[in-house]
Amino acid sequence: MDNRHFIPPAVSRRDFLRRTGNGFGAIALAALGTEQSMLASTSSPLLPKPAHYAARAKRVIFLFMQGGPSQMDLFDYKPKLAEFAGKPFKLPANYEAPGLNKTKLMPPISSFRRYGESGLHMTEWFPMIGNVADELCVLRGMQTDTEAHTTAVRQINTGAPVQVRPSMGAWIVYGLGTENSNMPGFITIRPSLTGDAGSPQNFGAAFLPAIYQGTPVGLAKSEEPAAVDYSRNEKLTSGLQSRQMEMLRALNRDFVSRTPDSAMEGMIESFELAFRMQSEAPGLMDLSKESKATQKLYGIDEKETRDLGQQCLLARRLVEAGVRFVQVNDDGWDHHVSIRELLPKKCKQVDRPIAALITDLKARGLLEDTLVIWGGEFGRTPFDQDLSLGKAGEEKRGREHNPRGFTMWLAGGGVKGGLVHGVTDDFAFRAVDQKVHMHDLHATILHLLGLDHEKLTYRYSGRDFRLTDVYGRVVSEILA
Amino acid sequence: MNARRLEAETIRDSILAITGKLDLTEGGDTLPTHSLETFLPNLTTFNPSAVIKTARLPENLRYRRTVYLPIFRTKQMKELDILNYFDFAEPTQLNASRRTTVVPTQSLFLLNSPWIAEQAEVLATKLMQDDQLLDRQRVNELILLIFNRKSTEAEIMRGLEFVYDFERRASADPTVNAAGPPGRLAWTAYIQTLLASNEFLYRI
Repeated sequence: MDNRHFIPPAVSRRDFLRRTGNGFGAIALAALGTEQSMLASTSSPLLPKPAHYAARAKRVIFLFMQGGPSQMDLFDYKPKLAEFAGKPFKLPANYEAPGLNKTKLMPPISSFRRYGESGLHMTEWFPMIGNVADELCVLRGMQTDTEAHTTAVRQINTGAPVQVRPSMGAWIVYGLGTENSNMPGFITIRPSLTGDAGSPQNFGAAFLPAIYQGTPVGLAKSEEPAAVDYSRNEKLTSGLQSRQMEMLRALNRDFVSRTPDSAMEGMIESFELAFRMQSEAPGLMDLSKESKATQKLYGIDEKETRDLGQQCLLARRLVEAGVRFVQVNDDGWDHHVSIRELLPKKCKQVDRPIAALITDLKARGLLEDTLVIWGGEFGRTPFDQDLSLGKAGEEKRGREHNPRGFTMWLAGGGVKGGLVHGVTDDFAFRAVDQKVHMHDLHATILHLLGLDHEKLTYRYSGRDFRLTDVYGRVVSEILA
Repeated sequence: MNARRLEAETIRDSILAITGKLDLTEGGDTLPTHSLETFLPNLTTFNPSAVIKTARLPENLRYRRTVYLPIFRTKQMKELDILNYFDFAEPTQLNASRRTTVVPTQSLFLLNSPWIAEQAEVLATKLMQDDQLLDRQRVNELILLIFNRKSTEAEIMRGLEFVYDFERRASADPTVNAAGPPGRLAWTAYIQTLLASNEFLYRI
């Protein structure tokens, strides 16, 4: 080979510091301890860790309904809203949004009925979720800080609307480790990576060690079930590949000892995990291993429920296998336009898969220590919005974003089922009593997992950071 | 420390530069209309995911710099999966800066992607063709090419030990024979390991 043109690289600043003997590298390496504590599997950062106190939930499935599900049409019926339908609504001062110049109150667009022994009052568009109504702990007084998707999506996922902070799943795996060392502790199924709905930041680790970051499987809007690709080597036997891994480990160990960096350590952990995943992931991701009856239960046999059905079934398989935090990503809840036509369709897509998930978890004895979270980044306004600016008819109208009061629900691990907590005003516009801010929800989720949100900290840039920043109250009223 | 991982395009281009295959031609058509049938055999189906799934780079584009390659709106074609895995920017959006993710599925890609294996094999074949080279010179060459620095004696010994051990194991394993001569397989595995290593993927 011809290397006549090779010019040796100049000594870098870091290289220089390292070589002078007292460089940052040497200091950082000393701080990291022995080579063994950095790399040996006995000290894997994913090993299960003790909680701060007894946990009510061991794992989480977060059903993220991106867009802003309309609370007054689904969970929070307001007779006054029906009574004053068509009347003008006095917008808050400085409130601006397109299509609101002739806005008026829009009545609840769905009929409500009571479900279960608890008599939970909910839309008739959720008949199957209604069958598990007694498991639901409905939070009608949710609040979040911002009313744009990007910031609110970031806040529900990371606690912070603007800054780059670790995601909820990353915090939880950092706090508790995971129970299956052959799989990532945090998996997000078909996340949206772009636009209003998402960014890798929403499942990122930010300043936490990179190994706690969510592993995405599948892509949003893909027509195929989420899969882990490249989990088989076409040429090498597993024996040969272990030899190769051994070599890779040695190369990386050598490199990290010269240039310690948390991202690279994350990369090393990530390689180890990848190698172990090869044995487990393909089987785990294969939904055809489930019986026809189970597939039908989740609605995988029908076009409109197939997508979310696959995600929910996969989520159950993953938590059953010991994955700590699984996020299911659904979107299409942003009904600015034609809400009368689109919301019932959306409900139809999610009703069966979500009800199936709860039913299935319960049947397997998993619901008692699995926390299921349902919700979007905010809710919607009681007044209507006309983005056609008067050109289109009434049926084309929708509702605007609303962070002041909206509904989310929890089920399973340690929460009271059949409970409604939180009250909004007569039009379901603002939460007025038993309010639960997003920070409070995060504090409560950590509490259910046995983690004290004030103690789960990570020192970065000179101070201790938390998922709840300097906020958060555990909503003790909803604990079972 | 502020180690920075190479961006997806840089990883691909660097690998091709290392194997000597990188085509440094400048400019040209972004959409290969001259061989549209090869590129997009399913174009007429109007099914975006089927189109992406079956799209293949025409021969004259396979080794072009990534910046000149045709890009789809949602997901990149299989042959450019490296972009899908290493945080390529969403082409329909403004991106002030790219996020760098570190997840095990990237490692799976590096270890098992046929594309990486193919490039490693190209280099292994080239390396073995030069029969004037001693094996220790080969290891030395590879470290120079891939890490852009001189090798240490310990590295050369470790590299040789790996290649010989791998070759011996591969010869003893009848299921591996189909994959090619054990010697080439061993050098290919060594090259792929170097390409998957942090020292190649990160700049400090």
